Amino acid sequence: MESGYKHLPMKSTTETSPTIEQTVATNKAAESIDVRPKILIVDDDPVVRRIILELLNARYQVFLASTGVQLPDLLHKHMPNLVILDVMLPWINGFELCRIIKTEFQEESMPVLFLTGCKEKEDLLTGKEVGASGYLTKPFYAKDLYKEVERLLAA
Amino acid sequence: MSDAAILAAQVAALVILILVNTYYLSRRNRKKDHALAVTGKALDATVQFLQAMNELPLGLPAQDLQEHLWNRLQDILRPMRIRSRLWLLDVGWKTLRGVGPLAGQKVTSQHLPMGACPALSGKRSFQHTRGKNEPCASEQFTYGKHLCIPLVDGRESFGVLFLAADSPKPWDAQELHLFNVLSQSIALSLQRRSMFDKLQEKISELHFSFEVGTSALSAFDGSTQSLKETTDHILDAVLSVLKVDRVSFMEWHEDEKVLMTRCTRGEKSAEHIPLRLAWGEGIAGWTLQTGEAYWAESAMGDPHFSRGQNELASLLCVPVYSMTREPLGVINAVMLHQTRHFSIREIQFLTNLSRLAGLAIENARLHHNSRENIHHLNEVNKLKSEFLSLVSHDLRGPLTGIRGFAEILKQQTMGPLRPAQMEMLDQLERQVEHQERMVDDLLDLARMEKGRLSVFPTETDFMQLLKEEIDNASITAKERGITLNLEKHRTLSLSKVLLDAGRLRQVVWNLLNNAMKFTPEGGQVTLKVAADHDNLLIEVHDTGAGLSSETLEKVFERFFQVTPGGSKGAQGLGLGLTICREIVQAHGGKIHASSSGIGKGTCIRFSLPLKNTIGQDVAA
Repeated sequence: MESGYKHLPMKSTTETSPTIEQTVATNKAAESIDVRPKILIVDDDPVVRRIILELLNARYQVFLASTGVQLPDLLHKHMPNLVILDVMLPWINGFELCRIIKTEFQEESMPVLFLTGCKEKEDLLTGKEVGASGYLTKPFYAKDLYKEVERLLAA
Repeated sequence: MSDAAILAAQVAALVILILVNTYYLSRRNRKKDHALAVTGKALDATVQFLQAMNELPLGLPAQDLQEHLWNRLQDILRPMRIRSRLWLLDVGWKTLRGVGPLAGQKVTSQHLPMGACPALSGKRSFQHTRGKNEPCASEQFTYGKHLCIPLVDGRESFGVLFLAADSPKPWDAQELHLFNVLSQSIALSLQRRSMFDKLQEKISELHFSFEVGTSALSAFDGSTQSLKETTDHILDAVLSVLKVDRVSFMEWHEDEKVLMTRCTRGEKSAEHIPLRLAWGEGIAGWTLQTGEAYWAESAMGDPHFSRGQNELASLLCVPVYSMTREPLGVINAVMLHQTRHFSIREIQFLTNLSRLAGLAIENARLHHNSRENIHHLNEVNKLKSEFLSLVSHDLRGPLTGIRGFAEILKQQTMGPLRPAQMEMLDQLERQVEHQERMVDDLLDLARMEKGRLSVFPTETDFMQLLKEEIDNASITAKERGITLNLEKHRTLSLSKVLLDAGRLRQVVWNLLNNAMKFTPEGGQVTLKVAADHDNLLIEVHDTGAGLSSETLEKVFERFFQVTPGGSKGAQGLGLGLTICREIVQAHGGKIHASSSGIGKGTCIRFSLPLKNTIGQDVAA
């Protein structure tokens, strides 16, 4: 897979659909109506997307996007229960995306979890400021990711 | 003789006597009247003369004043048929200069040598009467007589008043008196004028000194700025003091051996064609070669003037040298239209200013160089910081992948794993963690170079933190056959300590791993904790390689590595202890290393101040 820099914004949507199909397809046990919580992940690194997908796929419906360019459309379409954002994204960075989510979906319960390589204290504070509910740094442990996801979905 | 005849004769004699007497009397009276008239005239003339002189403005040019004096003189003397002329001293030319036109002159020259008139040198009147003695050289007409009266006031001589008449009859005392009074009046006027001139001179000298001082200051003013501003300041100072039309600075380029125009100020400075002169070429080049000021009232006719230079009238050049007598350039002060005689004072001013200019230009160059260096260093430093951030970010990216996939495998959703495979994955994860810490160290270094590494203290259970770190380290310890101990001294609860937990973990991890790295199999690493009311004391002690006294001082320096004999060689970046010290110091604490010597183990000890509200006494 290529890094999504050149192929956007179209790539993000095209990538999203097969992923959903794949998710649904691999969970044949699931009923025709999937009631599992929905998680949208925005990360420009395909490896990270793959890992998160593998880690969360079994328990959640996972949607992937490599940029936030069409994020509002995706959100309206899927109405996820949790959004996991990278910070260093092409065109619109994660903090900006979080701000957009918080202003556009005030009513909805749509917590945002940052999963990023930015470890500076200033970044953590910015994350808090734009309304994120959690902040994990890369490289992350699976147990930390599970813990955060469960905590945020339970809230 | 008859009586009548005698009587008649007597009467006649008496009448004659009376007549003679009367004649003589009347003649004496006439003489007296004449004398009186002359005296009165002299008085009137003097009063008028002085009045007229008084009415003249003080600032009247000297030549105009002299013309006025002569005109007044003419008014008085013409009715007496006396010709007059003023021969006044011209200090500049060292001659006597004639004032007042004379028709039919014998000598056409307006100038006479100073010694031409005996009255001036002798300071006494000189009188010539035709046939009696030789006329003096100031007589330019053939007169019956002439008189030269020195114009003297006190000790100062101004020249000679020349008077002449056609009649050879000598002047009488009254006339001479009148002439003397007139000459004194003229001398008085001239003296007044000369005093005014001297005063003016003094004022302008003062003014000049003031301007010289100001310009000297302003020459230095710009020297902390750019070279251009510095030279502009200097040139402006020259412009304002010397009141020349244009000034320029030509810079000497040692590498090319040319003198080139660098800055031009003043009239039409934009139109000035920049010059390129070789050493000794042209007036400027000559000045630089001789090292002395050079001036030419008529510049284009000067033997050193080189063709191709701009049109100009007069030129004053001074060389500019550095403190070490290396040529820096030449300052040119130029008169474009009218020729000008530069005074000694002006030349001295420019010579002095050139020394200051040398200092200022050198100063500006130094400033410029150091500024450039600082700028360059800042750029490099910025690049380094950016590079570090980027590198550490990019280094962390793959780690995410490695750890992620290892964890996915460990979940065994892709298939079951054998215990050996599982253990390898654990190893893999620990390597990732180690790598991650090193990347973090790099990032921290970048942070430290930007400023202080910042800490965000929160309430932390410190004992729990230590236990977790010991647990983490125990896997490595087990692998290496090292015993890990945790000792707690004193009875203070450390469950609510205010510190940056993440950072303290970093310190403890670094110290433990360092200790294990340099401790051979079978050795011991001990972590001791103690606390009193003020301080938290932590000590990591090992039974490893130890440190010499020289290396003890260096262990906290960046990139310092110890490669003890027989060890696995240097591992890591040599940043761990540097960062530990930074973190401890950011908490307001102290850290230091000690060792009993090579092979006798090392001890790193640090203390953190405890805030009063945090440490709580608990019964043992």
